[in-house]
Amino acid sequence: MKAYKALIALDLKLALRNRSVIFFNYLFPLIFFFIFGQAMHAERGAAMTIVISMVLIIGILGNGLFGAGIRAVQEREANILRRYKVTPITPAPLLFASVITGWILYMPNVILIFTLAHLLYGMPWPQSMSSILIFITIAIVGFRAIGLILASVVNSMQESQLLVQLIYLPMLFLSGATFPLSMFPPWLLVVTQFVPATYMVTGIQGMLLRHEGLAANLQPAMALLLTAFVGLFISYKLFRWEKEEKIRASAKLWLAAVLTPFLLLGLWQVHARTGIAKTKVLNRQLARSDTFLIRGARIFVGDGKVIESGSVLVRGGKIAEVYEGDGPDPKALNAETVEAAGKTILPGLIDVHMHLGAPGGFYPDMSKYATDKSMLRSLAAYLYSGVTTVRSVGDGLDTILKVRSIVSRNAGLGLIHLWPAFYRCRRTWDGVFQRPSGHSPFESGTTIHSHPHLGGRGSATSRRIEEARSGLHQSDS
Amino acid sequence: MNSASPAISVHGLKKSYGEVHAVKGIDFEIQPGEVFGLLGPNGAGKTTTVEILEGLRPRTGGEVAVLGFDPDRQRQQLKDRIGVCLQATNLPEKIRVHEAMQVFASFYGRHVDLNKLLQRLQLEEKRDAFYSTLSGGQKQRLALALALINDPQLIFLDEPTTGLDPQVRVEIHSLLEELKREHRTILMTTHYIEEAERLFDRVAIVDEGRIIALDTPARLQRQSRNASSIAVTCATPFPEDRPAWAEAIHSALDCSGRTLTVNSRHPAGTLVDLVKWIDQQGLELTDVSLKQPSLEDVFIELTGKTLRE
Repeated sequence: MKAYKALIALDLKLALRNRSVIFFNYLFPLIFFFIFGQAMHAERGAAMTIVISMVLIIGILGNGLFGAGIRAVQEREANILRRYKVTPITPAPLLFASVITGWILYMPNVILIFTLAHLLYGMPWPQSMSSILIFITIAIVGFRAIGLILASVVNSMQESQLLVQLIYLPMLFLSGATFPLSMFPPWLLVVTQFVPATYMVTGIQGMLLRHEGLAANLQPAMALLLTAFVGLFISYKLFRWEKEEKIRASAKLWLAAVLTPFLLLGLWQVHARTGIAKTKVLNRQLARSDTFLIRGARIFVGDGKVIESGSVLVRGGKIAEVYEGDGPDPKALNAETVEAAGKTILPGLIDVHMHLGAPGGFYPDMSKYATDKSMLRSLAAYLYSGVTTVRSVGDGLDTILKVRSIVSRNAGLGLIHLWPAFYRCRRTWDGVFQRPSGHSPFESGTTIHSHPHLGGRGSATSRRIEEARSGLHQSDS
Repeated sequence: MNSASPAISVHGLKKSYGEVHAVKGIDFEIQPGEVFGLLGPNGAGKTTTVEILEGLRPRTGGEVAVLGFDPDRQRQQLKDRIGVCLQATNLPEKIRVHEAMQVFASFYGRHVDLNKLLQRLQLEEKRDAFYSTLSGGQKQRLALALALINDPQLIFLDEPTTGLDPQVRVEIHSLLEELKREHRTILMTTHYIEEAERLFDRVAIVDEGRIIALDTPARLQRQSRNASSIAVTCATPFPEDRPAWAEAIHSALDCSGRTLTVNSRHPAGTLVDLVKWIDQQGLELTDVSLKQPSLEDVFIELTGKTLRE
């Protein structure tokens, strides 16, 4: 235990005395952070998520591959490990110290980046910071292990540099860490599912944008942990103290063995496609999470009032404020301006009685129709034409539950900025949306509406609608 | 381990790297408190032998016991008890002297007082210096400090003075003599003859993976076929007619005629006889020197090679 502590303390001191370690762990990410933060208008919201995930992933890759991998080779090449070899220690404290040091060095940087994002760009603190920190910890350990196994299977500095680049570049460019995944054609999205860094990008973005916890990212977290354990174990077994000890070229296959968890995960994803679906959801959510101010439009506020020339501020996908006239300076709001003079803004419309499951009418045997697919298509069409809330009655319970779960995961639809959440109508609402002349809703009647805020603003001038809205809010969980 | 058993015993030690046979069957024993030297040219198998005994590489064949441990099977226990100063090792550039000491101390079951060790190796002033700023001699002193950190009774020194300037070499020699006085067992390799002559209790001359001679330096020198040479210089030239002095093999006069060189197997007897004769001749003796064959001469004689080729 003494040796573990002493080596960690030494590794930390050596790292802090090494300019390139400080540069790549701290300065380099900060430079990226500010350059991309400015260039991508991170203050408007969406870009901050991209910038943060990019900076974090570049940092983790560098920390693992260069910080652990290249350094381990350097110590061997410089005959430093040779001196350790004549002492009674095993490789374990050396490997362990490398992993821990990498982690200790990296975490302050994570806190720093989040603090800067919060203070300078107004990013709200993530709902589950602990999930993010644990996830990043697992990622660091996983990538340090990849770095160490890499050091274990190369015979020279040149080989290690070649191999590091071979891993680093695809991870950088095929993970969404640099080029956003929204640019990728479908076949390339499939490729990204084999790249460990992709899961780190979508994991961190999911935690930031969708308040995911660790549980939602269990697969990649497990794969990273498995990689870490296998990587460290094999690094221990293949550990070489001297540069003169060469290893056979086929040992490089161990690197593939260490990455096997991600090969399996990728293959599973080719089948399940949840990863790609999540990527698409994230892209949509990113696209709508920017802040923008629609100016100079005629606005139907929804309570009967009409503003002849007003502005609507949208932040994080929700209506934040409605102003008469031009509203405040968009720069002060960190908002993009959308000039809408001559146009009219309506609240989301509500269709209080429709049949999602029967777009063409009812038939004696509805089971012949793939209603779950047609439902999603109808919802998309509704949304496209400005209807943000629908109340569908008379649908098969199974089907409507399935559609509801798709919509509530934000995994369905893909047309415009606003994504319907989807609610089962509560019994107590019976009659709320019912027209005096309409028929009673069925037990499985459902209401689909846009985000509560939009839905709320979109309601008609009725006290009963207010009741309905509060009912919707209560069920929004 | 009782005190009578050897610190190191090696029987029939062999080491092959594929087709290359680096060590071809070596036998020797080192007693506790002995300073034992391996002398030989590069590639003779000295370092390989030492590294097998340190537990750094597995042997191909033979029986080896170091402090009663088998270096192949009881590596960790052995390493905890020995001190090693390797050829060609390094420490991280930005490690401070005292940090290196602390880290290495943490590797062992026990360690000496680090400040005293720094003092002993005259490194106190450098305790906060980075490794990269140390001179060659200071680096070597630090290497020796690290070798002594666990207070080992058995110390391996692989060419500890190679590449150092003479002044530093002398400093290190006096440290080694100190260790010798403390009855520590030392196994050391070198290719400096004067070092071997001065420090070693016994020396094994190694060539091409074999020990070709093993004895005290003095006895090896005496056994040499090469005779000692006595040079005498007088104020006036020697006469042409000279007798055969006791035990003398050969004599020669230099061009001035005043310096005479006499070769002998037993220089003591020859010298007495020679000086008597000079006195009888009424010559005035101005200088006498006696040169014994060096280990290097012995080495060249045995191997046909020089040590530093």
